[in-house]
Amino acid sequence: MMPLAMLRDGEAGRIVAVYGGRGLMRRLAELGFIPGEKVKVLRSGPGPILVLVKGSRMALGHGVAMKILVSGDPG
Amino acid sequence: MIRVALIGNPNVGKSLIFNNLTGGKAHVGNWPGKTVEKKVGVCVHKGVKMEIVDLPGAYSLTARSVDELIARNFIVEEKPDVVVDIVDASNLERNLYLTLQLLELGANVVVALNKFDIAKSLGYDIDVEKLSELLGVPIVPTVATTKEGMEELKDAIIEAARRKGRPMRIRYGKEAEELIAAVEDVLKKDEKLVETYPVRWLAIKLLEGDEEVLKLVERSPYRDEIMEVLS
Repeated sequence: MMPLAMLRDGEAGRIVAVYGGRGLMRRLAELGFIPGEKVKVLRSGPGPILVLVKGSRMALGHGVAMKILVSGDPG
Repeated sequence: MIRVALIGNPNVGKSLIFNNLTGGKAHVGNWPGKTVEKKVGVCVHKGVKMEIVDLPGAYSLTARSVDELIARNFIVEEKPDVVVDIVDASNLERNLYLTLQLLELGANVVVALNKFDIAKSLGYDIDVEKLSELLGVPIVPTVATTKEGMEELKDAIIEAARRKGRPMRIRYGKEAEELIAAVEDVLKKDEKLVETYPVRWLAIKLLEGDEEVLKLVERSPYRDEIMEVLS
């Protein structure tokens, strides 16, 4: 397991947990970042990282991406 | 004249549908006090005039971003006759979240199931009738790029404006429902508040800790009583 921010370009993982305040967790859930969901990193830093989740591309700040914990390649 | 609002997640083809409906002739301005573009156009169908307002793209209706707040305030305060929720048929799960939020808000919703061709090519077999029955709203499959379904969508809007939708109630389980009912009871004392906003929606948002709704309650003469129930 590792933070989403640490995946490299093209790597995918499955969300295990999201750590944050109520507001952030809710916002991320609305955008599709829910435990069990598959995420793929399209482009990682420098700066925001671009990820694919539930069929949409989302840009996340590095700090936020550090709060999303993912497990290894779901294939 | 029927007042229609268009809403949907980003990238669902909302602008394309707006252009299809209005012929691309839009009056572009800003939302009061916000640097967010406001597009308004007119559509005449079978002798009925419709004013179409394009709302900012949104994944949800929480008060967290300016765009979403504009969309939400427009629906709650301006009460358009019909809200056309444009849903990406190839990405239903994500899109239906906004649909449920609109229904909870008491909007008179018509769903445009856009990108229907893409959904089909992905092998999705959507039972439109069943979905319509479950949500309690009319659903029109559309392909904005080829203008498929546009006439049917216009028909559905006019039909919905005549009929006025019945609000759908999303149940949250016994424990939450008891809380919601308790908050509703005290909110109902403030007649002015309840006149503008659906009371159940207010209660749910308060329990969620929605900042904008909390601000509304701050101004209520029954503020202390409401806060007591919430604590």
